[in-house]
Amino acid sequence: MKPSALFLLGSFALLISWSAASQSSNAGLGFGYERIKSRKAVQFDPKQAYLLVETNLVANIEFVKAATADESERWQALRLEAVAQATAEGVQAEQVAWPAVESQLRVRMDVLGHFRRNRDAVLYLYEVPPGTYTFYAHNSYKTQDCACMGSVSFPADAGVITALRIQRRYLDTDGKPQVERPKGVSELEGLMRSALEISPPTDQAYDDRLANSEIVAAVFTPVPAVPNWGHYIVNRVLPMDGLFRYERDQLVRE
Amino acid sequence: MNLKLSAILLGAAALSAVAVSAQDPASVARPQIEFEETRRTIKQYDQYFYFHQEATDFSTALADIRECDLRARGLYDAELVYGLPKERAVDPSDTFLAGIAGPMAAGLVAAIAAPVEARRERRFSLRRCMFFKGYDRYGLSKTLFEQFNYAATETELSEFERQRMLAQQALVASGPRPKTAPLGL
Repeated sequence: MKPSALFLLGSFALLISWSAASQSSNAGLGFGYERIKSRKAVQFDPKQAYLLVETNLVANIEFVKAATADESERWQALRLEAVAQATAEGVQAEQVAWPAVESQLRVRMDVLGHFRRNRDAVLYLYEVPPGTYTFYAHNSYKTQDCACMGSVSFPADAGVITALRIQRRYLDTDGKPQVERPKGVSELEGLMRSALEISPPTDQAYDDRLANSEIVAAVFTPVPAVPNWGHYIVNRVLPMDGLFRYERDQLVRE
Repeated sequence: MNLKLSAILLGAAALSAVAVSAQDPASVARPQIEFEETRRTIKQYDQYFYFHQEATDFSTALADIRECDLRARGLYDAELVYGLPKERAVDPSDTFLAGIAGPMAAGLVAAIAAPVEARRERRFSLRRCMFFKGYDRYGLSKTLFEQFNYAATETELSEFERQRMLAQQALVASGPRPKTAPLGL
């Protein structure tokens, strides 16, 4: 099917089934997060953390929260329940696969869940539980990439907005970042040759509605790998000066 | 995600896919990679290709190709595997379209576009993963490519068949230097 046809079908589907979620939670773990949408100055909960992502195009952007001891314990209890149920049905316990708890602690900023969108930048703002977050995926029309082979994590503390910039960068055939989309290739091939760049936020991340809160730039720590829970296309974050580089597929801290 | 859905049984196929065993390269049939280049074949090099790296032995190439294959299938790291070893066992609510049209609509569109998308996504994952590992990519004709590569939609293939093809790819990846120019990422 041609991309244009797929897009038309998607648009039709949009008309018949509008259900842009603004809130998500995992009842089993008590983990939840919420999109911030406000025309006035935002009222912040000092007990919650806030993630502000500045990007250059709309996308589903995902993060994974590191599990707390309590979340790990709850997940283990749920696993034991599942194993008990499976063994009662005649299945051997070791045959019950159970994902890492972090697979259940994913925050997805929905493509249309932006806080602000204009010609130069898109902002996503979500209220999340305080903790350490790892950048996981960037899903835009036609490509769904996970930072499975190299990412970064950062703390998101209560009472402040932790901000970062994420953008897709085109690469040449040697893997070097380019400003322009590769010429002479299809749009899909151009996207194939792209990586995800993470950097501190710019002035574009400022918004008058956030004046009541402190905005801090995320402090990054390299993460060598993240499992491909979503069956996305594998990719990685571009190296960051002074923080990490790659030697082939190995992430090397600097 | 429904927790019950998470408690999915691992099939024997997935376990055999994860296992990396020693293999004698002499037991692997070397695939044909020489062909007559035409305008048509050149146009399709984004889809049909093989990998090669200088000074790489067979076992290293096999480990690399198996890793990238598992990554492309979402099965890499046995401890963290979830889901059946089906290609594209994706929860529609995880997709980009779900963000704008809801999981039901995303599922509808995914059902129509899935085969094409799945094949492309596998190619993209393999190309990126092998590039990150330092392998060069070389163009191949569709006919020759299909002799020792499988597509994401070939779900009827046995794990044995998949592993046989991966071994052939490793043999080429660690074999003589190709006579054609590398394509890059």
